Amino acid sequence: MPDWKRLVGKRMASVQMPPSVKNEVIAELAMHLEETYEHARSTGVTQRAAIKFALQEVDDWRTLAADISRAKPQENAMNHRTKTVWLPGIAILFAAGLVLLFLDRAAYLQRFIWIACMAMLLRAATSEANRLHPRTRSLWLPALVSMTAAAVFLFAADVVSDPFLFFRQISLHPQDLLMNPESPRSFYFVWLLAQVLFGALRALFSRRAGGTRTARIFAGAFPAIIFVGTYVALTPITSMFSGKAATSPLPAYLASALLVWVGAPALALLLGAAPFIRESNQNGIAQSC
Amino acid sequence: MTKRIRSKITRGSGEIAILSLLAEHPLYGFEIARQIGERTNGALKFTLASLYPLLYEMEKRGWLEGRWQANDAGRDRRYYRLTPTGRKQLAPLREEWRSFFQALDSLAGVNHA
Repeated sequence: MPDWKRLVGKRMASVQMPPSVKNEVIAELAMHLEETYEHARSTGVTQRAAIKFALQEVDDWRTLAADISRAKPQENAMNHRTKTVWLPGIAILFAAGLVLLFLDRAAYLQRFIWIACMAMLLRAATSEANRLHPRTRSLWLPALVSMTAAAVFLFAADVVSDPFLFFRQISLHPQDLLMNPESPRSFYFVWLLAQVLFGALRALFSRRAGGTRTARIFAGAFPAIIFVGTYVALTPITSMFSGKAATSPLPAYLASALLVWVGAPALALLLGAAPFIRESNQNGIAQSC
Repeated sequence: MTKRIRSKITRGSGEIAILSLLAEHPLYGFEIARQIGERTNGALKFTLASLYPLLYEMEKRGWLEGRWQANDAGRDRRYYRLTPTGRKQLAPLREEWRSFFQALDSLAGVNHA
């Protein structure tokens, strides 16, 4: 019996893809040829005829190599979910962090968002690690890990030096925004308007990457999950340290936080995403053919 | 029929055939080709050259997921299973093909049943 792996490896030498993916493809195609050969042998044909029968599976190896190069994810390629959900989410969260930086408010929130970005980027990268180019795996991924660790370390150092600083520093209290005419509302409304644009961009990226309607909704509303985590979890503690809870009952404070920091931004995000959530009419036999 | 149209129809029918098979249970490439040939009495025939580019393309779209798994004899094979996204594609694709054949039937008297 021929060495099918060697045979396929030689014929697929022109395939352009990361070595790990290429080896996987070669192994799979070789296995197919081997089983075709064995199937032919089981019908009683000679070894030579069985080899010939197996090799008839491919008319033109160069065309096959080109077809597979097109079909298989290339270097640094990501899976569908990463492309349609994680990547747009990370990109726009990153942009949201930048907006906060330029508006020079809520520095700790901005740091939180950056750390969240790093964590998600890591999550996406590690889920794809087996497909990454060796240089990406050996250089960029460790660099990303150390950057994330550095960001976490900086944050931890601040918290250790003054454990309550973070909770005092979040200056935009939801009830102030709703009730206090002197609160810095302009920041909030600029930020809220930016969410419309970010929601639209995320859903657009997701649609361009072939995301389903659910993926587009999820990508569009992605930061709302971070807002839930950041504000709903931290608002009660923040309110205690800043004394805001003393002026109103905690449930009312929480409800206003939900409205200001979760409900309104989520609506803004979905408003922006809405035009891109509708299924495009390209689906169908014409597309699937 | 031009070669391009024929190729598109073959590709589209290949997608629905693979999705329908994998909706039943996970299979590896050789078995997918064998079962499609057997269950369509040879009307649809997949060779290695036509099957794998399509499988990889469907995998890239997120419809399928391939995983290496050893069988009882210790032979490694890459089994494909439907993802939730792939499962969602099946019903609309079936409907589209049904409409397509009905339209063709009313036009040219081609009964697909």
